[in-house]
Amino acid sequence: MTSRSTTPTWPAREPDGWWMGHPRYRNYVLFAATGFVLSAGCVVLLLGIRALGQGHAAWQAYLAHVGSLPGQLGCWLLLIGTLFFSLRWLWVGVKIPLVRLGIVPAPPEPVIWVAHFAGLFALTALVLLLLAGVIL
Amino acid sequence: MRKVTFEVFRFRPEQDQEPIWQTYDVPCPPDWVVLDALNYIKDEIDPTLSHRWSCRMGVCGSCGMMVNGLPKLTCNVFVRDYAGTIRVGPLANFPVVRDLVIDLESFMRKLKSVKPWIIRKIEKDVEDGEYLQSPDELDNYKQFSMCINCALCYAACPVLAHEPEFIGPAAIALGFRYNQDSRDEGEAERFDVMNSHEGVWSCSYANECSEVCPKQVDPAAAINRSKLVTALQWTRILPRRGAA
Amino acid sequence: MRRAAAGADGLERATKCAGRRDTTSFGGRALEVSYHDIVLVGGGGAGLRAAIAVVEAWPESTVACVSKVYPMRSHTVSAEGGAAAVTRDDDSLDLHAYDTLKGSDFLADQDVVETFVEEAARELIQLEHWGCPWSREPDGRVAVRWFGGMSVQRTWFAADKTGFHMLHALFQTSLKHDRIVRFDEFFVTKLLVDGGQVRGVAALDIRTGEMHAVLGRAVIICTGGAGRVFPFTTNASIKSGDGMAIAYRAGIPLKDMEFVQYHPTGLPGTGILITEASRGEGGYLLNSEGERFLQRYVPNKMELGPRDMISRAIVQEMQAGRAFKGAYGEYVHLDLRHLGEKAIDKKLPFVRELVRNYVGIDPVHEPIPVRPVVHYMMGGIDTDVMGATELPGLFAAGEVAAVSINGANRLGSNSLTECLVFGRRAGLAAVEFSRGTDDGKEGPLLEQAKAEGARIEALRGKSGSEKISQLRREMNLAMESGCGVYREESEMQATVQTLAQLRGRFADLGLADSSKIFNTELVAALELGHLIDVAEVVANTALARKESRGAHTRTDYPNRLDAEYLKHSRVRFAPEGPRLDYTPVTITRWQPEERKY
Repeated sequence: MTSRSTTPTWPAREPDGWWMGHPRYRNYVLFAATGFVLSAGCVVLLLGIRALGQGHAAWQAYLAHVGSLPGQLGCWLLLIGTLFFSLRWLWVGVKIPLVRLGIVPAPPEPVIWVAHFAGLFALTALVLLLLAGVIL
Repeated sequence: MRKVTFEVFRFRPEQDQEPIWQTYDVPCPPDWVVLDALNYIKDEIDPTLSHRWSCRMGVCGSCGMMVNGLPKLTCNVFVRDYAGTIRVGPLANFPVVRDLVIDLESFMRKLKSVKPWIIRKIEKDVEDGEYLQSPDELDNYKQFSMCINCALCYAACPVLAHEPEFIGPAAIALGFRYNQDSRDEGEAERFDVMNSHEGVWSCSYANECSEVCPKQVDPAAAINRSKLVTALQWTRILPRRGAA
Repeated sequence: MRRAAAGADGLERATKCAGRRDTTSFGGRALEVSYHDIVLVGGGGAGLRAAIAVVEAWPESTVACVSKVYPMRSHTVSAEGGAAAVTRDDDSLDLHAYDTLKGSDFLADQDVVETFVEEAARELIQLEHWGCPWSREPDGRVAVRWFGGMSVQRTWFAADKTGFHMLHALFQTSLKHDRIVRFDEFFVTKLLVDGGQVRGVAALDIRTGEMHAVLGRAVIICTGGAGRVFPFTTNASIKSGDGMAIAYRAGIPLKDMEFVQYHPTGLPGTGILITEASRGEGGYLLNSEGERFLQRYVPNKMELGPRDMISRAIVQEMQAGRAFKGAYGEYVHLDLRHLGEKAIDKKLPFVRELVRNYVGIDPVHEPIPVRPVVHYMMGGIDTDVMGATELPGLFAAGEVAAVSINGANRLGSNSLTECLVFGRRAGLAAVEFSRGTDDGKEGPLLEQAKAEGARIEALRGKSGSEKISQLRREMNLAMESGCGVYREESEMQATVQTLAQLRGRFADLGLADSSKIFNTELVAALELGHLIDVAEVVANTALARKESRGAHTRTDYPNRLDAEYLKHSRVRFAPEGPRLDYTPVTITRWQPEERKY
């Protein structure tokens, strides 16, 4: 318990230069902003599914849109955004599993790192193999 | 000896309508920390400047301020590492009492809210000796017991700037420190506070708290490990220690 | 409402409306009044231990914990090496007592030391139960390490941040007790005494600049040391001897104040402490010729000798030209390289951090420059084994008190334990005292608080031609030249004279800041007053002790003279200057012997 008097204060301020004034802030803001890119990507994919349901002509038109220059740029942006998001998430996320869960002790740090990146590569490989039609 | 210009945040509620940045020229020897320059200003140039400091060795946690826009322990950062003018302000995300002195009351309340003490159903008698704790069990929480309550992480957190009720990195790291301590059985008692909206789920993992922490406590790890643990507990995959 | 609870005659106030706050006024200014059962001054290791002891022993009571800083900023936080207690089979209470007495150069009171060693282990275990992250052995037991002057390994440690962890464990534990009411950033400037009994304190609320009377049936002073009377010290800026000075000004004697401990290993320039544990873990002290020079001074203990002797040895090496010369004076080397990176990171991580930060070298690869630095006041407020002073209701514990277990030289790692053992004892004694007394009359106490408020009001922004920083600097230099590792009559006399002049010049202090809110200049002025009081006491007692004992070493009287000086010095305040007398040392089972290591 405290017995504290108060006096008039100047209100709390955000850090100076937030949100672009410092490389780390920019990095985080970009990370957060990739949310928009990922959402847009999802919308584009949903539109594709809808076009597929609307028949051959709609699907061809959709492919043409995606294949146009702005469409291609969008796809590149989506790829870069996804990669940036994944890598930053891995970079900050790798420390999360280093925790004792109930009676299960915390795993050694190298194990987590190896498992994290092995997981990433395995998942990427799986997607690529799916896309290439090698499996399924 | 380099002459360094300091721009220092001044706010004296009895006379100032709003804060100003006051300029001081300070002759700085190469081994001075920013705090040395502030003390020089206080002693030799302007005794009306107010700032907190004590141990000058990075362990008491008093002298946290914004130095060129980033939260720093001023006893821990060297003048020589800054080119040009150095701008010193009070920690961001806290109301300012005066000059470089912030209002810590909300911080103190948040620390207490996570019940940062050993909670046990049955306490061992002191005459029966210590609780045994292996070095591995110690390592589970040791890092999170290193927090000096300097509040730099609160000044860095982008969430706190917009959600002042977020209990924040230091408090959650402290709650997590006790949850992870093999001697403690209070996880269930801390669950509601830690797992609330103002608790771990306010965190958007900017990781800034861990970036600015002068003691490598890594509060972001504590918060996000806490998320993992509380999620598993909420889904009943993992039991809560100390639950009835 | 509050008034009604206080009762017509003001008696029985504390327990009935404890925790209440009231406001009265004087000269157009507010005087806040708070009512508690027991008032603590200082929120460090000893203070928080006392606070917890009080609420545990007397659950209905409320304790006011009045501190000029938030408790976790207290200087206990800077203690590094460890806390001593007998917990191992190869150890014994008698051995710990003997080591402590020999370390004290037989000036410690033996009955007190016996009590201390008996209760030490219990207190460290209590801290363990409260969550202190003590370093462990593989089997889960608390680990112990070597420390200077100790015959066996008996020092518990939490890496090399023991004080930090103890303080935070105590502070966090104190948070669970709502009856510990904190007054954070309230600066106590005066004891309120009526009818020959202390009844509370007057404190400046630093935040508002208002005077506050915190009333209670007993007061426990736990404000720590006064290292800042010296220019080169490990002590934090807050260590201005406040508790010693306010007790002294209330007429209570200070004991053994001539004994000032120089820690052998501080960083040149800043004075930052490099823990004795770095030698406990096997570090070497080397002179400029690369020699482990302690073989010529303490051959049987080497780096684990007592602090006073090692500090003297370093100064002698400097005088013999076998030291390094640097920008901040001469220094020797503390070499940890042979310990290896792994051991340093495990046992001494803070040392590595500090040396990298503040010297810019890595102790894994390079030796650390170190020199003796003022560290600890063996002396303090004269108390008995329960922490009681001669003023009824007033107790003291921790560095601010001289119980005395430290005598003429404290052994490393005894002081953290001392905070716990005697913090608890003072808390319990205060409870017992408070239960057997009444609340006294409020009127005279409030009058005193108002007078104190007026004194401080007059100081705020007062005109004058002297500067705080200038007087502080001159005091520091006078103390360094007269009361250093080696002392000599004429130098001490010069110091005493300089201090008397400074006292006069203090009256002409000029302050630039007339604001009330968080006026740190006003706080610094009040602290300077305390520092000058303590400095005068140290210099006068040092001058009067014409022998060498423990940390008090005189070149003109190089020998210990038990026949004349096996006694405690005691100093009382008098307007014309410190008034000195002596009291006997309690000897139980150990006759003083030559101190050789």
